[in-house]
Amino acid sequence: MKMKKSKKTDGCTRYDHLVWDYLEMDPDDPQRFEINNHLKSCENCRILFERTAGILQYLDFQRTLTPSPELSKQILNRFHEKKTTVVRLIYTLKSLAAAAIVVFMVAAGVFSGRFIAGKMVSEQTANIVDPVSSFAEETFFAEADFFTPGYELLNE
Amino acid sequence: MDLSEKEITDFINKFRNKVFRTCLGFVQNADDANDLTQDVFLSVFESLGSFRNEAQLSTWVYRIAVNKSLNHLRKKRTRNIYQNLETLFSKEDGYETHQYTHNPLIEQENRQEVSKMLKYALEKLSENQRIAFTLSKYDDLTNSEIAGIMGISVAAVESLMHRAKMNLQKSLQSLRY
Repeated sequence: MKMKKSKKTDGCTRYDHLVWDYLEMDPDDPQRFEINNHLKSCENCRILFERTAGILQYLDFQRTLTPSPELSKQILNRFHEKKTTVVRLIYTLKSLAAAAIVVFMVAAGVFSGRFIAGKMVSEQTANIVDPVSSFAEETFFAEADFFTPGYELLNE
Repeated sequence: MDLSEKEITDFINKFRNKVFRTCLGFVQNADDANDLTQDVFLSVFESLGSFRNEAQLSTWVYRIAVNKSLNHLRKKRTRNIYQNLETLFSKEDGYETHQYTHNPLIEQENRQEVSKMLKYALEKLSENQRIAFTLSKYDDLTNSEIAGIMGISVAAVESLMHRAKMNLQKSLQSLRY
């Protein structure tokens, strides 16, 4: 933004802090006459005072503005909409949580079922007598009896 | 906290103009102020349960309005930075588009010009000066009320107001004419 520095005289600085007060001063205030006299001869200050007056008038105008007459309705709609969204979100989260619990329970059931079944199978396997190894054992002893040196002597 | 429709409407009617004016003072645009006012009330209703009676209800509502407005301005500023960068890189005369062109004499009916001027001058204020100025000029709050909202002393508000006025004057003086 291009700016132009206004040239200030020593007299101007005296009135600088009075701009806002001046605009709210009583028309008969003696200080107002003094400022008016200065403004007649100083263009810089006059422009500043005019601009400030413009701003104050604009502020007055803005203060007359009111929100849309539909404001309450709009807020209520948004409020209910938000509430519904929150309720929906909670409902969805609840459903998801319930589904997750069901899935977990099914998975746990399947896992524990397989585990128990696996354990039973291994126990059964442990109890079964291996016919091959028992036959070999018997044969070994039978043969051992036959080949043991001095066996005949002992039997005698 | 569950509020009936009537309670909500009563609450809105009680504070609507105050909140709207505060937001307008910051954003300088009636449509944006209207949207912000809605956001302020939604925030108020959402956190009404956490409101402790340490402060007055109006003070609390003003605080929310000020915070929402400042957040809006910050977001807008960030957006503008990106937009300005885009303009700068896309156009040779990008910088010229942001120049303030001003009429030598401010005509009363020329509100658009004055609005631009005020917006420009307000943007030059610090955040605290702007809060104090807006609450004082738009909501007609006393210095002690402003002090309560801002959580500072009355003397500090007086100082902020004085500096705000001086800075506004400086900005008005520095505008090209």
